[in-house]
Amino acid sequence: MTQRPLTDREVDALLRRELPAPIPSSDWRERVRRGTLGAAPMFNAAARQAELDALRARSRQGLAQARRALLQSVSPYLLITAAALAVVPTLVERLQPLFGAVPGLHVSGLTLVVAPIALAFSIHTAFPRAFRALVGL
Amino acid sequence: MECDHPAPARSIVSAAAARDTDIVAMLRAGREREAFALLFERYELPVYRLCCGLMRSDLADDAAQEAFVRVWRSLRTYDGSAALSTWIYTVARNSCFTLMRRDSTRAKRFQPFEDDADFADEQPPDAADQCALQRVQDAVQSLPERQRTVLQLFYWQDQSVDEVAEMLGIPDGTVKTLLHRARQRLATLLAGEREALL
Repeated sequence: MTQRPLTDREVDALLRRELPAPIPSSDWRERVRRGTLGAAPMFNAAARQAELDALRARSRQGLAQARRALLQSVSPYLLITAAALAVVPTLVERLQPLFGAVPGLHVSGLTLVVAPIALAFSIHTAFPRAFRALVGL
Repeated sequence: MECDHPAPARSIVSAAAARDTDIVAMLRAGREREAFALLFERYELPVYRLCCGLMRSDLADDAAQEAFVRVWRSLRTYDGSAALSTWIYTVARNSCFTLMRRDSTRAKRFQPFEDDADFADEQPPDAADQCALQRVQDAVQSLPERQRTVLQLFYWQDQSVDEVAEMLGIPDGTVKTLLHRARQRLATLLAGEREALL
């Protein structure tokens, strides 16, 4: 004899009674808490602000360092240029009779400014350490 | 007239939506920790049950945990374009699928020896005094996967078709159809147990 199937209502009642919902364990809750709220506070506003401040400080420090390095690298040229500009007018005036004695040689003030800078640049490129020691930087 | 499935479901859904609004407001105010705490309180059970419905029980714990870790990590990227619940359930489903893929790869990599496989397939002796709970659960486990998942979530989640549809990302109509088919199948499967069960 074949069995009469359960009615929809009977199945429903049976499932309500016999199908218990799974409940997470307290151990699972603790694991989730550790993996989220207990983890490094990535979303903590204070921590984020501190991280941002540290980044700003590092950027400022890096910028200052770069500025110092730039100044250090151009200062020899500035020094030489300044020295040349201070000395050249007098030098040209003093040496004019000497330059005039050599036929075909015409030395202007500009030549006397550019020449030392070019010379300094060549020495600096070829012997950077020696050059820095020479100019005291 | 008495209804089969009374409708507290609608009010549950709207109350939940109100709490979602609070969570989103907290997120916008930069109170992520508080928002997550509230979110966890609200979605702990649905997400856990969704994972249990989609996966083997030994993996469901890990999947649900992974889902919440993912939600926590990407909470700031939630832009409110989808409902919070939709977003969370999508993250949870994706966690389940990722874990399932990983598990199937691992299973392929570590195939058991044939002898072990024989033992693994061995069924426990059919106990005559198997309780009603076990019989119903066995019948439910024998359902096709989609029917089983929908049926379990429906009875675990206060018989709310809306919520089950949202959890699984499928239309309400599909949930109702799958539920109907599952119940029909169970009615036949459990017909022989009428005396013991009812």
